[in-house]
Amino acid sequence: MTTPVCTLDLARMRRARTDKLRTAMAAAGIDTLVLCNQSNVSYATGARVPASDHVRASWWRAVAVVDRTDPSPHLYTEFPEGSASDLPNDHLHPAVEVESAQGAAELVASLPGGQLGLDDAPFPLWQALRARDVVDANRALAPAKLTKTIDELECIRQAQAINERAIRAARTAAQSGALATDLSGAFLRAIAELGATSNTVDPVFQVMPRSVAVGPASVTGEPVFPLPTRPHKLADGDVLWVDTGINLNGYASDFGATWIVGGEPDHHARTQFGEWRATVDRVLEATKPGATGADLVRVATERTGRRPWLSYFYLAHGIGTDSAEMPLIGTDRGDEFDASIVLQPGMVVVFEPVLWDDGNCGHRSEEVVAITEDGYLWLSNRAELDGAT
Amino acid sequence: MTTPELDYCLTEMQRRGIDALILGREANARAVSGADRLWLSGTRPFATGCVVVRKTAAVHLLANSNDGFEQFPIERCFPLTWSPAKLLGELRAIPGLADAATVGVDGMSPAMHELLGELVPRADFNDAGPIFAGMWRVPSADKVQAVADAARVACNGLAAMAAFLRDGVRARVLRGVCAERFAALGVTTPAFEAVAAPIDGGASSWLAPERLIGAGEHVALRAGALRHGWEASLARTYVVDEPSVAQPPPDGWSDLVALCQAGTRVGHLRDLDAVVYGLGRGVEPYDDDLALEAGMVLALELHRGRRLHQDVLHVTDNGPLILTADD
Repeated sequence: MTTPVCTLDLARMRRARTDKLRTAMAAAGIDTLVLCNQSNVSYATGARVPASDHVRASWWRAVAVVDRTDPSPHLYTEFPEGSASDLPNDHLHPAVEVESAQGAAELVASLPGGQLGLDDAPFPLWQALRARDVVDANRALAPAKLTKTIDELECIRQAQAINERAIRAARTAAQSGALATDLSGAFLRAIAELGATSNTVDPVFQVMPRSVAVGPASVTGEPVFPLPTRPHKLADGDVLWVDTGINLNGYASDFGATWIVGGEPDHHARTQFGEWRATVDRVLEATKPGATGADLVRVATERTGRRPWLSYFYLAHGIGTDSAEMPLIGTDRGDEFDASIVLQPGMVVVFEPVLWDDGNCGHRSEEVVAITEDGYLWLSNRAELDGAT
Repeated sequence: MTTPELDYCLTEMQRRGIDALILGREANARAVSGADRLWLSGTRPFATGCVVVRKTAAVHLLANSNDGFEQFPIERCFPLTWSPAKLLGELRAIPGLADAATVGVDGMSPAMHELLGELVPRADFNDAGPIFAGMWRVPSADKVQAVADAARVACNGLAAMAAFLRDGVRARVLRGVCAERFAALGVTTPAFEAVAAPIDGGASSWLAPERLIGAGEHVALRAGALRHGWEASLARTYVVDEPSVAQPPPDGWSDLVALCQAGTRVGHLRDLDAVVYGLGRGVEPYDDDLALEAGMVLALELHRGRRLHQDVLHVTDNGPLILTADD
């Protein structure tokens, strides 16, 4: 079990986020932020909307307008009951239909002058802002989100704990003859009962091939992952790669594991896990403030000279209001980008190397830590070798 | 590879003088490509997830595999990348895209605008929304069947929730029961996460309070499934008991349903307190002045007093058919 970071105080968390965001806006020279992305609106306001598919979510889109000189954000939402209790009444507005030209024009007419920062817009809103000078809201959002307060860390830890607890129900269901979608059902039921705010991704329980050549067809020549879960019947010996994410109070979690259906891990599975464990352990030894992304990549690759992860992913990614956010370490953006990432206290890092041994399948798991003043603390439990006795 | 939806899209691009589309919304990408990519909850940032080039009549997809939609040519998949430079390279390699003078998009962000400025420096950007709004209006037996299939899943999920609706249950338990039932029918993606909401005057019927539900309470249940990218949903009201008792629709419901036929203005239904919107690859918003036509599939909802009711209707030449009818 992980240890609580603090006694969770959501009001304190919102205040701290607002302060960070306004400081970052000042540094970026942004006077007003216009935010349309659900996770950004949640970050800026604490607002909740019903969890839904993207089309419905766009239709229900809440919008936040953050003025640097105003201690409270403005929230436009169809769901006032989902707004934070400390949002002043005069900052809570009916929904504005930024998917339509009329709604977009209304919102733009209400914006103050000065430098605007925008995250992501339906096209009618983008058109309505044509006459304004607009910069990327990430200039303020990214630095604000990069490090987490103790309450944010505790949210992520609790989200991860629910995810890991619910995954036990799916593991129990992972038997020969079961359908992969049965595991999804067991997981989704469990996260709801355990108090998750919502599910964030179609839970992945993917039967992996022994070798890439067996298929599915791969554009990169590497294993293809993750794929949507389909009603595929499981059989003894199947190797499942698992990837699940849930949301709690606006914060994501990320669970990854490798399961073997109906049997103990064979020699290959043990070797692969051993390599995975050794890779992450070496990286963890180097995980402390001041270390760069390039340092971690070097440690992860120095023994074999190869990058033990998928080229289209990473050695590690951050997590917060999005399930994958900065810092991104070991991506295909290259060494210079990795070198520019300097670990700081409050950053959260999800390690997810992949050990692929073509012909003998492979191993992936995930572990989540937060950077502290002198090292790191665990936000997930340690990965285990499934089925080992 | 061609489909009626892609044909419609290419015809509209021609008519509107749009050379290429860059699509971030999964429903739009799925409509023109058949792509079945991993489902994520909530709004998604605009991205170059799918490209349609009119000159070549080709669709290109950001995907590492065509697994599950093998009819889509894998040579038109381009891989995931975190590098803007590599992404630009992949997009430049799409025949005909870099020459596009008019590009339709379904969203925009400052970062993507900068990237697209390098890709198609002289292009005008147009709203791709009207092309898809039009596509959703094209009558299609396949669409009706797909929504009806999703409706069967939604009805099953709601029935499972009703069976668990007892004194002392929590809304979140019912939410989980619904998701589990969907999965038992092979559907792991919702249109929205199921809701069990006490109707106690003013409380939300979408974001339910996390309290115990008590005997004798009127409770609205909502279930919505997204099956193969097609959406259907329903809502029913129960009084909590052992077992809980389904309530008839509110007064005026059958009149509203009867009005759902060709020629009725959507605004007229709304004047009668109905919530009305189209359904298909998600929600399809309707204007007040839209007149219903045979072939349309819509959600109709009425909340009066302590009863909330929602169904999915198929408007036909012979009147409305309820796709979420109770068995």
